[in-house]
Amino acid sequence: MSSGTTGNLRDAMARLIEERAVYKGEFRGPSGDRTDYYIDMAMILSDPTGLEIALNLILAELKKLKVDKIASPSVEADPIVAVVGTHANIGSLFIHQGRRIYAFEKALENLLQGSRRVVIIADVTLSGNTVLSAGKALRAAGAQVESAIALVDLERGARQLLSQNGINLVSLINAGNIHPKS
Amino acid sequence: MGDLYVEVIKNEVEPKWRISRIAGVPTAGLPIATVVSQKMRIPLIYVRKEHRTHGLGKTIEGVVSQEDNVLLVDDIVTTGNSTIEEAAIIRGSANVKHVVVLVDREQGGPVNLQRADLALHPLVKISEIINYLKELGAISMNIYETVTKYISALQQPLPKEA
Repeated sequence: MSSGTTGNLRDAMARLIEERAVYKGEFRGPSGDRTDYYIDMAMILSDPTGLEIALNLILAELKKLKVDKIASPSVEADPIVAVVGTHANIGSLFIHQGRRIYAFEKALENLLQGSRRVVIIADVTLSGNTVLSAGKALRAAGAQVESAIALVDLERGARQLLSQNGINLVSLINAGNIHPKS
Repeated sequence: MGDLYVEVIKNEVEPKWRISRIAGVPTAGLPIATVVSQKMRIPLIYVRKEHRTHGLGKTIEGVVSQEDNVLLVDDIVTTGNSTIEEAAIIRGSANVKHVVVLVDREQGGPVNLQRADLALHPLVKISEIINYLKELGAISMNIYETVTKYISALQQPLPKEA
């Protein structure tokens, strides 16, 4: 069970998501999977209050892990990774697939020198494919990737897929905590 | 580094312009803009480079309206063209007038931006970096002269029609 303060923060985040970030209707996730509602975490992370709550939630989780660097698997997670990195004084990596692959791999290897344990931080996980490809890119560059933290897991298979690939997913809020208003 | 951005924004932009949104230019500008947004407690927005076919398919992420004054935050300005494109997209939804960057590479950026009614506020110019490195003795006179020549050759603004 989560501690009191973290529990309150989780509730605050879940309510904020319900108020500002849930869109009902049929949507497609990044891997083409369909969902009947969509969570736009940019609505939360672009707001200083939402960003602050997310920051404190992630910082509390990060304390429990051994970590040398944190990584963002997508543009959507860049904002939260940037502020977490600044506050925890941990270097941040921004992994965007399909961009300048060669230069990127060399750069990643250089950035990883001497600091191998990388935790991936995602805004939302559905199938887990985006986190997994970031994990593979990091591993190819020599990183140890054993954990990922998601602000929200919409429970579309991410936990299983990542677990099969040796990545333990910690999610702060799950689909069951969010009750979309009709 | 975030603190340096905030200092420049507070000294050079805020006295003349009320900022209500911070816009990060992905990829490099977005992490910096987020840190600035958090430090100043001003909401963040950003423009998506590729149009998304999944999710909501929005071009601008975050909340923005016509009355908003948006400050652009990026890492580097070279010719200014990509910054001008970014500003044009945001101008469809709000006001854009100022751009804060870490480095002005002095390749026509400020003049090109001015033509697009954008004021550039660099934390540092490439010539200042080169002069500093020369004074430190970190680079040879030869390299200093090569780079200085390169910079001044590129300082002319681009022709109006590309």
